[in-house]
Amino acid sequence: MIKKSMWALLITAILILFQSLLSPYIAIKTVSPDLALCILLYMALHNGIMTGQVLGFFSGLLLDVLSLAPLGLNSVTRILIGAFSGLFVGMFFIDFFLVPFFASAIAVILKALVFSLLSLLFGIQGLSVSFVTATFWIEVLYTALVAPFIFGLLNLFKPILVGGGKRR
Amino acid sequence: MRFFRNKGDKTKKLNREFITFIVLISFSLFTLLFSTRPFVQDIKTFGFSFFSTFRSSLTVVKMYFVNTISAIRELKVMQDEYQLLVEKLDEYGKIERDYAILKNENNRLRELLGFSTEETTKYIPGLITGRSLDKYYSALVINKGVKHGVRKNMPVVAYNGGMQGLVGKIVQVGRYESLVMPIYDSSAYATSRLLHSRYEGITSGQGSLDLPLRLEQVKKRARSEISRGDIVGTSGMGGVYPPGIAIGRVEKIIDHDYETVLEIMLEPIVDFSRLEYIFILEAEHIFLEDSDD
Repeated sequence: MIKKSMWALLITAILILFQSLLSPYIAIKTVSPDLALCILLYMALHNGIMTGQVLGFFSGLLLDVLSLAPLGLNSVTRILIGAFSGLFVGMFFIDFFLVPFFASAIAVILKALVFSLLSLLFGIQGLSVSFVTATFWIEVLYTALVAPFIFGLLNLFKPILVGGGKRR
Repeated sequence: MRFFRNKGDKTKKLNREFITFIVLISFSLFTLLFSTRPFVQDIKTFGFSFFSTFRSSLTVVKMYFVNTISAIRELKVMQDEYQLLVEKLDEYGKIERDYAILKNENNRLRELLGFSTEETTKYIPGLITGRSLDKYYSALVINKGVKHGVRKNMPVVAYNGGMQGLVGKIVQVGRYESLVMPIYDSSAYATSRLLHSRYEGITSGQGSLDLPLRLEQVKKRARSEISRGDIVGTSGMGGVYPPGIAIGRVEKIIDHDYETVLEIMLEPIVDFSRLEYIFILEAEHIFLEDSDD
């Protein structure tokens, strides 16, 4: 589990760096797809709760460090998303398009919901989540459309990212 | 299908997962709770510095390819422009002579009015190498850090259409890179002044570069003296931004009956969607924090 998570974290770090550099070129109305979330979903859906929540913690911490978000915001959010996604391990066949598409869309919506809740509980300044703006739904759709390609890319590394341990 | 040797295995696994979940969530929530305290900011600064070394290396590679492709394209264009430039050179020779005369006259007038001609502000040029990773927090990554003399809270400006405009301020400094909070971020504030009528207010962002800036706390009696297109600049109060840096132009004035102040929408001077080069100001009177890096 540790080895798989470390490899996934390394791929996450590389994609985050590339996303930060290429953001002006790939963004639609200032919105970029959440690539780290796609990787988290892939690992959680294939490996289960433990991998999902551990990878969620570390990838969230990484995002908090590299952005203006308060430390802990993304890590709490992604632990919850990783653990929740891990519940569905082995329940269905992960095809090329439908599962990554819908899982990512739901994950982005969940992320926004958790951000709203944390903003309310901790009084986080400057964090405004709105479900009625175009940018929010662009982020949902953009991430959902990119997810199948991220899943396809990660399938190339399936031997080192998936399996090897007991699953439910 | 799921197979277990016995029920005990399943319970053990669930317990382990649950305990790990509780530990990770608790740690993250405590970190979030105290994330405005200085000792947690130090962890952020260290982590940011660590990753900024990798990002700055990748930026060098990226800029090499971008510059090479641009150079090839520009070579063709440059050959035609060369001829035009030779002709223009003669013309500029005449303009330069006129400029020298005007400059002398300007200096004489400044002396008469008693203005100092000494520059107290140093400019550190920088390049934007990355942008925020999510849409909730706006941030710009620049390629200058502690090594180049950058410190937290330094103002950042850029030139657009020949005018100097406010970009934001430095909020996090690493060894080789820094994070800039742009003026359109919802946490960003700048004490401002309408340059024509001299009324003061506070400019803040609305969280997106597609949305205008908001100038608030301007007295209602100023309504007759404000027009669309008036320039708003920093007032210098609070010691964060030096005075006189243009922030935006008045786009819309909202006069609520129930309010005693006006709400003014500003179009930023700086075009953030095309922003590439910035300048970090090292002005004498600005309150700065030392970076621990």
